[in-house]
Amino acid sequence: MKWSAEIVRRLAIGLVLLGSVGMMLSMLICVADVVGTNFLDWPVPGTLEITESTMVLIVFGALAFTQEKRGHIRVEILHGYMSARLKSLADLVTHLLALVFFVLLAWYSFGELSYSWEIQEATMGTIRFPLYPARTLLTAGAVLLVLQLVLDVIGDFGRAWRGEPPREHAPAPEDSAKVS
Amino acid sequence: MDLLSAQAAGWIVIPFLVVCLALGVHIGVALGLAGFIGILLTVGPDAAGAQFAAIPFSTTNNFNLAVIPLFILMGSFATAAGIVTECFRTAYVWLGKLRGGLAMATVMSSAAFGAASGSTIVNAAVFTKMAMPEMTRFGYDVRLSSGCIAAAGTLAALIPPSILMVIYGVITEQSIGKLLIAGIIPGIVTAVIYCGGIYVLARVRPDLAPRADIKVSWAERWRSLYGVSGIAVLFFLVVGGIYGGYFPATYAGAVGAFGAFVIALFKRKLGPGTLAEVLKEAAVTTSVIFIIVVGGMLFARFLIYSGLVDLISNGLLSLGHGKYTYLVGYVVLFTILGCFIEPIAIMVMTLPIMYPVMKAQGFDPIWLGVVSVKLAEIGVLTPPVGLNVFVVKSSSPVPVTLGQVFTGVMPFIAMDFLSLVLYVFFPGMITWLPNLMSK
Repeated sequence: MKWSAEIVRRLAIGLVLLGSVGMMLSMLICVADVVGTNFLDWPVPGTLEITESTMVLIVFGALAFTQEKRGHIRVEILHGYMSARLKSLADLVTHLLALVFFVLLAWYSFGELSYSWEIQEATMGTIRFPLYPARTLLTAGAVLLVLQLVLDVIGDFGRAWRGEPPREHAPAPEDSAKVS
Repeated sequence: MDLLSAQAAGWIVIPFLVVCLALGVHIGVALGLAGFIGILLTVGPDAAGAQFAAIPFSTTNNFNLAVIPLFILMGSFATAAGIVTECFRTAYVWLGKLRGGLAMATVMSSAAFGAASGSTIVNAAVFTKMAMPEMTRFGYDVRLSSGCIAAAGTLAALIPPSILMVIYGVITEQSIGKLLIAGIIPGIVTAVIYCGGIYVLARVRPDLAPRADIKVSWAERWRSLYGVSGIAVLFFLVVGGIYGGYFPATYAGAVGAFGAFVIALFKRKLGPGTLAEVLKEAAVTTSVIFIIVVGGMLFARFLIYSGLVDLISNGLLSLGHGKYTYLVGYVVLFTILGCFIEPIAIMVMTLPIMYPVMKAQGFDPIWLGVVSVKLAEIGVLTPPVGLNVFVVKSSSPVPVTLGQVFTGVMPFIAMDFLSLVLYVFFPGMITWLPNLMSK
């Protein structure tokens, strides 16, 4: 259990770092394209396509990492009125539903992915930019989140059973302010 | 499998969504599952699967929405560069001596930092850490200081860059550039109204905001302007680029992020560790936002495919009320939802149905965008679930209760409704700038 959590955690960090590099890259390439188009009469080919693919990487790359940090936004109206066990039970239900959602997402996107590889799917524009790498990243990110959620559901079940309160939620908004 | 009518499915799906949200299910997951179940019940399993296969990729692999991580990055780099401190310092030396001056300085510097940040939560968090201790030191009432910080945070959503404007633009297929430009004047007007309100409050109840005894020379005041010159240049680059039609919003985001990155480098505030941290946080924030958008898009597909959009919007239109009755209804709907749900989710949930109705009533789409953003932002201030209020409470270095912050934001909510009234009577303050744009 411990080592599996550790593996998932490391993979999640790896993917989020890859997403960070992608974000930096798409920023630089867009700026290069602006400068190239407006001043040098030399637009950077593929800017749009590369930016789109990195978007998929950023969003799905950060999924599992965000879940591990409990960073996803949720409404907590009833939580104030619940006992520790009930809170853990509510967490169990929410994580189970999230599991259902992302299993569906991973399942259907895997179908798309295999078809995309088969036909070597690419964009229709002037350059034929391949789309299957981005689809692979989407599926990989979703599968990793599914694994993380399975670990969370097991943890929630144990806590609900023992009557312990749920794991603390990360104060997500402040994290971004911490860098100052 | 027998398919249900749109109405019957609606009676199953909407309660499911409400229960999920009340239980604390992630908003994106709740919306997405509700959408999936809805399509499954009304159109069948094949259609539901096809939507699930297509939407996550088409929503993320999207150049228009790519502006969101870039705007987030711009705000994070600007925060890392310490631009917030400089904005506050500048406003402080210029306004601090006035009655209620520190609160006005908070409002004005939050507006100025809004020119680099598109997120109301980030604004609320950073200003709480900086302005709360300062106002407390000079004897300001914590209700006024905390309320003003929470409310001033919302200025970031009106003043470009703004993530909410992008979301509205994508859902309603309006020009994101025009929407961003349209937010400038309402943002400034809101800031001025806030300052006026603070001044009046401080006049009527001087005990709330004692005159701060600050000694600053004029030389110091002028010098402080140098500190904010970086952000001013950045703002003109981003807004000017969009306004002049030199580049679309996504490129503007990249230029803004790059500019903030250069400023942070130049000020030696960006080591490799900080850079990695900034990028990681920006990726996480992006991911959180996009899961809501993906879920919202799935939900919207259910509303459209099942025919619920036509059913409800035709039903609403057939009531045949006057234009402004619909506007009042729109305001009430957003305000009620805003009490419980965060702004992006409100946008993705309501716009598929309400936008066609409002457009049919003759409301200008750009005007409606600014009004919607304003309304959604009032929602981050209203109890019981007010995101900005929570953020101010949890990041405050000075002890303050949730009740105090909620009391403190009340006058500002009243002022926000005053702004809305102004938008209705003077729509030009929203539409004038975008109408001047070339494209």
